[in-house]
Amino acid sequence: MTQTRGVFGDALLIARKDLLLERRAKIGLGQVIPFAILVLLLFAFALDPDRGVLKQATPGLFWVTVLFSSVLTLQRSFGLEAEDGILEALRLSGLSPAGIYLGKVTALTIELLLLEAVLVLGVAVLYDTEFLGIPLLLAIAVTATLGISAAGAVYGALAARLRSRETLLPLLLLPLLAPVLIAATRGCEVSLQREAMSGWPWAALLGIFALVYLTLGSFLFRPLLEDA
Amino acid sequence: MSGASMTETLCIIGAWLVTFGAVGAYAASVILRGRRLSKIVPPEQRRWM
Amino acid sequence: MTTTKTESLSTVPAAPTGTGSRGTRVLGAVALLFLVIAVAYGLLISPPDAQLGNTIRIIYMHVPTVMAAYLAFLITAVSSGMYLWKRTEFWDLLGSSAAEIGVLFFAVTIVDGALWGKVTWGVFWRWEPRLTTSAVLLIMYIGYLAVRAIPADPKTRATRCAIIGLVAVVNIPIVHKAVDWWRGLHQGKTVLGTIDPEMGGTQLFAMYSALVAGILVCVWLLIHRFRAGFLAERASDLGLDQALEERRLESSPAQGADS
Repeated sequence: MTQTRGVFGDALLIARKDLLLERRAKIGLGQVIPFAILVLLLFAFALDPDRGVLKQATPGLFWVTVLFSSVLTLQRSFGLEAEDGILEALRLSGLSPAGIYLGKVTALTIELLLLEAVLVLGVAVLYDTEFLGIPLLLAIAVTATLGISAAGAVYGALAARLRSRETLLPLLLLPLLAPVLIAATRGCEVSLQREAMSGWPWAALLGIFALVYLTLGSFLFRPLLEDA
Repeated sequence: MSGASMTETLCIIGAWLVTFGAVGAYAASVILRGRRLSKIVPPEQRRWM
Repeated sequence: MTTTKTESLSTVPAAPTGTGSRGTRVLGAVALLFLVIAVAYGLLISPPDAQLGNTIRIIYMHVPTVMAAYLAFLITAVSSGMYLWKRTEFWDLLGSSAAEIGVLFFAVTIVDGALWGKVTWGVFWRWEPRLTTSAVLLIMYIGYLAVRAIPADPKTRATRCAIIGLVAVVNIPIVHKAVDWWRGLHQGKTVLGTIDPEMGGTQLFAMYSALVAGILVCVWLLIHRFRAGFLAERASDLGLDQALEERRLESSPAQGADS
């Protein structure tokens, strides 16, 4: 009982630390969100808005933008710690590795959900999207984001100490997130009534993805911090 | 018709050639690497557990 | 390090001059036999399939390579887990060797699949579920090899690779499910990647002999690759030892002057 409270207490500590850092430095708000909006503009330039392609492809474009932004967010979140040797300090701090991992995931999930909220506004304004099936959309956003953070935190921490991290992290992470992209995009299309089927199996698949990587990450973070 | 069966034959032969070629080339490279390394590594360390 | 004492010890059993041994030669010969049978039956003796026609002959190569690749990735996953538990060089080398072989077989599988698509659909690539899954998994394991190729302390590198090996393998069923559902909306089941139960006798024989050959070649390659990897580690240890020795010789007079 004390063990589990310890893990979640540690997680809360780390999450609070990360979010505080983020609020002070404002890299997420100051750089990643403008980048994400920029990508929305670039898609509009690439796919002629007058031919309706943009509107049809909105869920896919939205989630691709989220994936790319999440790579930047991860690099930011772990790059800082690797540079200042904070990962070493964390390892020596006596906090449980699973707690550190869950804290990182929590902070990342909150940051990415904020980013998605801004992107939803962007999509609504720029791509003229009508939002239907809000409960399903919310479920998909939460499960997909949790999955991205859960898998991303493992690879983010792993790549942070490598010199070629800028290229390695996307190479490692994006294929891993391929099922998330598929499921989130299809789920949103169902929700926006572009496809006639139930969208909840997609949300369930995203939930399973998140759960699997949360479990695995909690176990792998100890060797990751100690030896990798 | 003959064009289609030509493509078919080429693709079938191609698939077998690619499979045998790639695996064969890899096998050769591994074996040659092993021989080259065996010359460097002293005999008492040339034991694979 | 190397003295006359160790040299005299090593003269008792003759040290191998490569990665071969009696075991691998026997295994290689059996694999070769099955390969010859597979070529004879797959290309010459067995009749064209009722539905697939002659393209079934591509399937005779496609299925064994994909099976060998999955076997290799399974070995990588088990080795990764075992490495994190036991922390021995054996599991690290086995896992990374298997990953490399898995990538090789997967790449071949995708090329074979694309050639099958060219004949069957007239285009190299359609978003056929099995091919799509293979492409995603291939890139995932290329990432593993990319991390493996980064020079690092062997223990650090081994831990990194073991983590990636485990993270990657649990994604395999999820990618399968996602891609199946996704493509299931647009097209029915395809034959690629399955063994049709209505195959005739010689067709089944060709398929199974190719399958056995594929698995045997995979294991044979794995043994050789493992040994080559082991030798490479010893060679790099040697390089390190030599470098340390040189450094010591260089710095010792300077140290003497300092003190």
